[in-house]
Amino acid sequence: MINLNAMIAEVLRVPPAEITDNTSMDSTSAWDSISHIEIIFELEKKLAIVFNGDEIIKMTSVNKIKNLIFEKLGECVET
Amino acid sequence: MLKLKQSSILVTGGANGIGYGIVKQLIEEGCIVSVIDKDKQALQNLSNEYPEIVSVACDLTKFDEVAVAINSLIDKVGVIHGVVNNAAIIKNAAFVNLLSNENRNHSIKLWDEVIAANLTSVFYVTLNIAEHMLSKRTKGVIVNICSIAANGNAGQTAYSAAKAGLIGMSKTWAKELGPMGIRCVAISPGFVNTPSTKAALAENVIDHVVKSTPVRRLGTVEEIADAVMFAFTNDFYTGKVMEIDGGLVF
Repeated sequence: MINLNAMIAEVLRVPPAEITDNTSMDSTSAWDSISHIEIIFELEKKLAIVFNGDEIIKMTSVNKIKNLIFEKLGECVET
Repeated sequence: MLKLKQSSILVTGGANGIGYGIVKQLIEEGCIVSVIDKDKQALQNLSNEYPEIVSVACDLTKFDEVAVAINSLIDKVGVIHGVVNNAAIIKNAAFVNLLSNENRNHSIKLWDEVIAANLTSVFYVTLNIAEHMLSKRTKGVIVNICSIAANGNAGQTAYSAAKAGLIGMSKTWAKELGPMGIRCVAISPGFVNTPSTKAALAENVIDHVVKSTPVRRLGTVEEIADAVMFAFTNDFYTGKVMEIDGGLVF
């Protein structure tokens, strides 16, 4: 299983320490609509799953992503 | 690497000139080819020659028409892996014509027309195609046919601006869509031996161009099509402008 915070930090090009469970699009300027798609694609590649349009719109924070992955895979991601 | 055989490629303005040459080569490579062109008669001729081509007539300067046309093509072919934004018009005008007593200034109508046909249309087409590729999670390639006129050419304010704009969009899309597996390449042909070149330039101008070109001839449609094939198949090539101009310093 992936380390979600580290993956998001890598996509957003910010230090891993800046990403916590509470990190969201609203709280992080680097997390814009463009990097959001990158995060989705990276997650899909690493977890071998596909998110639908409604899910993508709701995945706006680390917590929400973590919960959604648990719903879809029944497994917790490391953060 | 995009394997051309069985790849689904859309070519705009594919019924004539450079576009026709690109379509022909894509068919020879085993691609599933779709064509959008506003010239209905030329589209009919193309369909007669290649019945396997999926084609639709459309005015690319109208966003709603473009969306409907692309959706109908996707319904027929299922997926699009690549697009060649080739459709364009060439119209020339002096920026300020001091020899004219009236209408000295570059026509606003001509400016709008050339920018709509050569720049806005590419934005419209690619917006629909990129959205399709992203939703289908399809790796894809966008090829924009530009021109060496993007470097500036006297008498072609609108055309040069549109083609320079295409280069800017190409580099932007390469950066923005690259992480999602979509590459974007601009190809800038020099003067190519096509009916539209002959219609746009007087014979003495073409002679001058040939004399100024190190290889001493106009380019061929096949040479531009070869560049398109390279753009599609080299997976490490993106965000660049490929100048196919016989060495002409413009």
